[in-house]
Amino acid sequence: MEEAIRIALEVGCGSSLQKVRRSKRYKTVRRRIEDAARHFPADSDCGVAFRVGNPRMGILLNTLPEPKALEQARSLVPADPPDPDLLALTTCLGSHLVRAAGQCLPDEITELAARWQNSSADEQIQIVSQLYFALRSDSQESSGCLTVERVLEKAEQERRRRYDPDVRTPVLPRLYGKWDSADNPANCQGKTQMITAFGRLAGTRVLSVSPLTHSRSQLDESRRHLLHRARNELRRRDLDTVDPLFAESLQAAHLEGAISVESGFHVGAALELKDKRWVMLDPHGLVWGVVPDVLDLGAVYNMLKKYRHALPGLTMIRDDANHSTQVIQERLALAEDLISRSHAFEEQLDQAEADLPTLIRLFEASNDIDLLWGCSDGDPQALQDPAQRKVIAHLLILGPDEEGSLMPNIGRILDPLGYSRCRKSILSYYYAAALNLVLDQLNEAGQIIHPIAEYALPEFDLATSVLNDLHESADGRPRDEGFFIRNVFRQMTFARALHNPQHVIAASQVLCRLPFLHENFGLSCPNSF
Amino acid sequence: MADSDALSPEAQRLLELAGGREKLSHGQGDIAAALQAHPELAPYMNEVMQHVVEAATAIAQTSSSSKFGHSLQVLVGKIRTKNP
Repeated sequence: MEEAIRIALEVGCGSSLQKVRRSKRYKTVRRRIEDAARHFPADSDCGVAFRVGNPRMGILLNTLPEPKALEQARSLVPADPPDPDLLALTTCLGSHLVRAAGQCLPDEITELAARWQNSSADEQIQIVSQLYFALRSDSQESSGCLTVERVLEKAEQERRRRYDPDVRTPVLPRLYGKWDSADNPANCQGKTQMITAFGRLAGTRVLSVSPLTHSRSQLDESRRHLLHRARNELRRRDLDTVDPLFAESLQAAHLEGAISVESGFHVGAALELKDKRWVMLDPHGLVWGVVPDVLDLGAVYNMLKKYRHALPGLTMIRDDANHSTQVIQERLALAEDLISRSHAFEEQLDQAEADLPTLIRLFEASNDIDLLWGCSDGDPQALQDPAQRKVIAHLLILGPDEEGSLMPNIGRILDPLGYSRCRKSILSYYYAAALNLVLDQLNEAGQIIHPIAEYALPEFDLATSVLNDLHESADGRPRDEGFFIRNVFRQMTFARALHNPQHVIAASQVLCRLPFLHENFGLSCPNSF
Repeated sequence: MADSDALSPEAQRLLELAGGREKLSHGQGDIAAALQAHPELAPYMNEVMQHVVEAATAIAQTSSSSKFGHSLQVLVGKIRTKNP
């Protein structure tokens, strides 16, 4: 463990074990543990927590109101105290990581931090939005149409990022260096280190956030549900192959679902706003948003702060009382409504003359043209002018010709099968628009958050995450699970310990008592992605 | 979501008569019935529909996902480019 801390300090932060051991902070933390009887009086809340230690105190505080947790803790046999040297070094490593990450912030971000103090809460939300986009890597952006080639390309990138040792993303500030979105390799840990540094510069409170249920997995589930419905209906209505671009996208989405990789442990951050609300910020997980009051992160922060010396690795698990699920469900309802409109329009067409002029006239008169046009980023003003509305209805029904020209498609008008083709094309377009309503708009626009997560004070949490990544490769000796179990109340700790015969029972006992488990338990890779 | 306070009072009334923004954007409102009962509100239909569309698409279009392709989607893009 000491070797991993040495590497993190020297390679990651430009410091050393010797320097840290000489520091005032190291000596203070070490003295506090060595002289626990004085610093943590036996009858005080922190004294009780210190003696019971992780993980038992973590379970109690996460499953009972604090007074009851303390009452039960008082009857427990004291645990072995933590190693004062390792705990003091880890505490100092957290501060060094954040300080070094501060040096990686580009001017654009330090300027945002400078504006924070004099901004209103709403302006601070705008700053968080800017920070989100500043820290989102270019490789995470995706434009254009969903194609099989694009899906395979992304899958290969993901495979290399996860498993190729040559492109493993560094988690140490001096390795990932000055941030730029084009080619900086910082992963979720590196970005959270930088966000914490931003919070320290801005003078606001910060929590680290480790999702147990990732908001994107909720979105993916909704997408899968919608895609499943769309594919079945399109096939049944003989609309699945009418448009080649759409047919390819459907195939690509199916492939994407089949080869998607389950996410492992992950970390983001939350910042406190001027009006005491909190905003979650996770540019690597592609999520940001104002945290609903129900989570009461102010109380979570105060609890963690109270026990920060006795249990520096404590985390508190909170869920958002279905806030994000409801937002996603509303959007899904909107998409499903568009699909229902395709059915309704088909019924209307079945009762009308089967010719192109009637098809165009009915489409022009319906509200669907407004919705489909709006869903495709069309300017709503264009449809306000009756003449323009007529032209747009003609163009959408007749569709582009083979060269993609906007000229009226005479060939289709004269083609005896023109009506049938145009009718199928517009009816399938409702599905494409519906599927495009449930992409990443909600998370990119700050509408949803990770619904269930572990919250912790960031410096210690980030230090132990880095050590978790570095520990095995550092000195080749068996991993010191005992250090993590004794000091870090995170599911990542217990997931790792499940693979260690010496700790499997203790880890299972913790996990089975927690209110929520990580969504991919048993599947996830233990390191963060 | 778009703020319904931004509508003119007449459009606001038509929106309410038609069942409200949520119902309209979910295809459950009935703007035709509202107009039949109150034809004097016909000039405000476009304002209401625009509002509903904005509500439906108010969330930022920026996305880290590729969109489902459709030739009509491409066509709308071309029309938009021709009429900036």
